[in-house]
Amino acid sequence: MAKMINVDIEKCTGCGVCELQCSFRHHGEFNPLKARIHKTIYIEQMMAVPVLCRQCEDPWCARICPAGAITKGIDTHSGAPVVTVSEEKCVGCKMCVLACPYGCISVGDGGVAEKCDLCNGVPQCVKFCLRGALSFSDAAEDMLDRKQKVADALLTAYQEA
Amino acid sequence: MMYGWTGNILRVDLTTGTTTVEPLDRDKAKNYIGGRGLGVKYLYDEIDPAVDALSPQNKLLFVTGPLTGTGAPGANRYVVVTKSPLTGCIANSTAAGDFACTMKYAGYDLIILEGKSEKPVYLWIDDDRIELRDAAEIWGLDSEETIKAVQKATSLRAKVACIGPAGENLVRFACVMNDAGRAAGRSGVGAVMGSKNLKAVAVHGTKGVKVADRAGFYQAMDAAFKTLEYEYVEEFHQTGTPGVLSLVHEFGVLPTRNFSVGVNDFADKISGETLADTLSVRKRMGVACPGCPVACGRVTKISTGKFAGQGFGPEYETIGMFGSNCGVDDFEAIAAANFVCNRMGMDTISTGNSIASAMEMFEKGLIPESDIGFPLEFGDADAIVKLAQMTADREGFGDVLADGSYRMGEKYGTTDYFMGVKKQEFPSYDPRGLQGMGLGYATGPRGACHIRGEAQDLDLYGVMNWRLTADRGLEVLDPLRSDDKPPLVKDVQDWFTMIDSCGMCNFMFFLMVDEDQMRQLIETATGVDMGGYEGFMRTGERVFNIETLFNRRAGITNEWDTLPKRMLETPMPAGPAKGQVVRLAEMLPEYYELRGWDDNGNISDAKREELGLA
Amino acid sequence: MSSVSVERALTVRFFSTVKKVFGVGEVEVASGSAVDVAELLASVCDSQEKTRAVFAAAGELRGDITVLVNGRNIALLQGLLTPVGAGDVVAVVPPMAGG
Repeated sequence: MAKMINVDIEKCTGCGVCELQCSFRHHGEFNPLKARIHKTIYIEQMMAVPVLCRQCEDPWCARICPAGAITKGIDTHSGAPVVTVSEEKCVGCKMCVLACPYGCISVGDGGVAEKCDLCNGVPQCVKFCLRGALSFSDAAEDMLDRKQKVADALLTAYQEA
Repeated sequence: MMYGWTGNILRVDLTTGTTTVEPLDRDKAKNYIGGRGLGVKYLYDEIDPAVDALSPQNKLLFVTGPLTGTGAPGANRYVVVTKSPLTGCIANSTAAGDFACTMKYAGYDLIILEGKSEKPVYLWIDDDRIELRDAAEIWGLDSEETIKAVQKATSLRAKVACIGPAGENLVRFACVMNDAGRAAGRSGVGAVMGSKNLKAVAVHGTKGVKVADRAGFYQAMDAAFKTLEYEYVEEFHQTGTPGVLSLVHEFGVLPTRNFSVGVNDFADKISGETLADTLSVRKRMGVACPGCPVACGRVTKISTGKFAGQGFGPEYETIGMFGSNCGVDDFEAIAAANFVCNRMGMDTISTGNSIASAMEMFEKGLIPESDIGFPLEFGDADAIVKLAQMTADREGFGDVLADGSYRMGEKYGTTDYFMGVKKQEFPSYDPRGLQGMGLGYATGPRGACHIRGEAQDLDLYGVMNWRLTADRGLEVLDPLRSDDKPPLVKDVQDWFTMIDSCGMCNFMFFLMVDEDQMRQLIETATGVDMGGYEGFMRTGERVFNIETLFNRRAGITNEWDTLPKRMLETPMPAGPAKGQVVRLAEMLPEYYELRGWDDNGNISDAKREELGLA
Repeated sequence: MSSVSVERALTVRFFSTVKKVFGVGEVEVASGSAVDVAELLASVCDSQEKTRAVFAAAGELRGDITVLVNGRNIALLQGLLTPVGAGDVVAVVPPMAGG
């Protein structure tokens, strides 16, 4: 199965390096408000959760786009599925903003829809996430890893019971 | 258009309630960079250093660096610069947090707060919209309540720096607190804010930080992140600063019972690993300040019992001061005392150290029980929590502690049990086993401090991955040797002024990011050529010297470049540093000579000219 | 602190990342079993992983590892040939930071 940006909430420290790198890459400035990934910090639990475009199988943003500006395709650099916005076609109507269940598409200063484009196959949020909360990896393998983690926990619980 | 810097200063006259935005002076920015450096330059130019620190004539500056808010690792600091009510010297207390970055995003390098408001107010900065608002309803709230209340009244996305009751009560070591338990901790910057009747500064910013050379900055940033990819960073993430406690103890320099000895039999109970495995809300896991790939912060929770509660910390210095230095081995009490300090907005180092000093003076019969209200002995876990609260409230004996342990000593007839420099209490390293640290403590412009020239790193590890040791070909240093320390201490002090000026957290540099990497980050961010490594270090030297000039004009002579008698005359009684005193007299003349200062610690005309100091 | 043994042992303490590899913070070694730091460390490094955590090559410490004997860096003493005996405390320390 193909690559995608996977999130391991367990490892997220809430540093927001992902936001800074995303805004630098796409807007040439460091500004978390312009980032296409956003973390929410739950400081009392020492937890943080990053939210970003999941590159949906059947993207609502694409379905609802009246200009046909949003399409699902394959990133040529990484082979990963990616939902892209055509700046030429986008009219900035913001229907996609209404439709996206993740809040991960927006219309910025440029007047066109902006979303995660996987940075030409090298997502900068992942590259600079030294704690490993984000990974650009095979989704199926990531799911197997998670299942194994659950199995490990079950085994421990079983042995302690 | 400026890069790195926003190019704007927000000036707020609290007496008249007027606010103005003015351009940042380019020459000052180039020569003093930001944070600690730019702050002291503006303060030095704008006030008479001899003014009373708690008078309206003093100014309070919040200063970011050119890297604050960028993607450089750990670029999340601001510095609160003012004249200290504790030391009478320059104060420059740094803190990390969203507040610092958001100040940049709102478009300001400096906020200069001057005068004194008639009534309690808070400042609300929403990009270009600036407003002083009545703070009657939040005056008296603790720092955590204040932040929530101000966010509710302004914007839930606002980032807030504020004082707690300790700042309102002019405790001489009150902090400015921001975000989640972050503190501009030392030298009483919170008391200055309280003296101005300013409860909080809230900021919301939507602008970004741009850099001069995008490709160059990306390269420098990438290199700095790569430097931080090694296994110890993971360990530091898991145990945070408390992880170092067991090592400091191994060297025999963990302050115990008011710096009477450097070893004890309970260090294991208060180690970083114990903390990470017990009170930490998530075991062996840290939380991050903005933009930091390390994440060394901690949230701790005490579920049951008399100390039940939750809060941030404790960091190493706090554990050393409230724990070993007070003879307390109860981690819950140490954490609870920390929570009190955070909520009240009070420096944990000075609070813990002052309590330890009071414990010793009580045990020696110098402070009567009737003044304290109860027998105050080393090891009294309840007392550290109780006295921390009383200090913040200036209640009973807390009123004495609130002026610091030097003034407490004066009140009770001897300052021999004050453990610090320039009336500021020592942090958690006994300098008798760390000669370089002794010289660093004695000569630090803001008094005793562990992060204004981290001589303890050199003493503990011998070498760091820094040019100032690598260029000398040093492989290992002897912490008990003094003759080789003056040049190293001078250089490390100058280097750390740069760290405190650029906007990055100094832990990045503990963790091996070096001088050239920082210089490249500053140069590519601002477009300013710093003149290579030499020009870079000269900038640090300039900042260090203007701080000393500030002190001299404030009436602080080099007679204050000294250590407590105990450090100079009483040999360490036990442990690896047994028999040692700090040989300060051997180091100081050479240090002054290297600094280009005369025997009285005054900066020579030649040195002033070289550094461009009027 | 109360236990006093007649034959005092050597204590080896491990810190931080090294402690993780060794699985314990401290081991006691019979004092006769090693004459110097090199022998002592070789005797406690009983697996490849442990050896790799301490040594770069045979007879050479890793660059980032500091070894203390009674709180003194062996680089200031006689290096790996620093003698050790009953009651000595040897610490194996990776880089650590505080603040």
